[in-house]
Amino acid sequence: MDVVLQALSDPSRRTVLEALSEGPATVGELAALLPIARPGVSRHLRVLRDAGLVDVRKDAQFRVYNLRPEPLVEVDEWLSRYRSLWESRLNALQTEITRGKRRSSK
Amino acid sequence: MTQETQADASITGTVRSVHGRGVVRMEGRYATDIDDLWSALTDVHRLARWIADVDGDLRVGGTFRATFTSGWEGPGRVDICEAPQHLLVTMTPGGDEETVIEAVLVADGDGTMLVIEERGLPLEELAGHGAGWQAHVEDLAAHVAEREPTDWHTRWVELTPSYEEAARQ
Repeated sequence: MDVVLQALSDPSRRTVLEALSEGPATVGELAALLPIARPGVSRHLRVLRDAGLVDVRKDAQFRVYNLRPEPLVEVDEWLSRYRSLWESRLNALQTEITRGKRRSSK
Repeated sequence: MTQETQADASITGTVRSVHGRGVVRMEGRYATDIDDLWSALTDVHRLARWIADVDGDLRVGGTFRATFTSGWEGPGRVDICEAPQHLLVTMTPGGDEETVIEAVLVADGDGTMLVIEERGLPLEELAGHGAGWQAHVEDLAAHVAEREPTDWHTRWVELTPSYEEAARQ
């Protein structure tokens, strides 16, 4: 999971993932979304590919990148353990707020 | 296996097989002088406007990275650079996908004849590369005429069937 979190730790790479969540794109199309030169975009795509978050479909010269959401499952499972913690705290806060309101309305 | 695909009156694209590897050849006349055409093929700012973003050491023996309008990206090495008539680069040097791209320019009146060949291509991808190069050199013709290049992918899809036909011959 370290390599996935590392890949997600860069805003440009998150922009790339967001774009790919709407459909496949070429490196040129992705470069148009980012304020960096294409060789920089290629480097980011390499990091994402190494983390298994994108794959590339090849047809002669044509290259198109796709999102691979599978590695995010592991991140989601890891986060879900903490989700129950904050959810129970938020529920407690909600209860407290409701109780306070009831008291002040008397 | 040689077949001509005439999509533009001034550019002729052919594909053939040599020792089990594919060769794509684009022969054409461009409406500009040899020095201008040479600069369109070697100046990184101009290359970026019609075919590829190139970054690295562009002297003979130097290595660079290129990202083409097709989406293809990878390393390359400059092997021959003799202004303004002869350029030869090796793409993915030492790799499984190694190919050679060679450009030869000859002044022709107020224009310039240019032959671009890419050699060492996998035969099963020959049609795709033929169509791809045709789209690239049409973009070059547009660039030297100060027109905007078309969308590479759209043109590649349009040209692919005729190159599939050519590659079967």
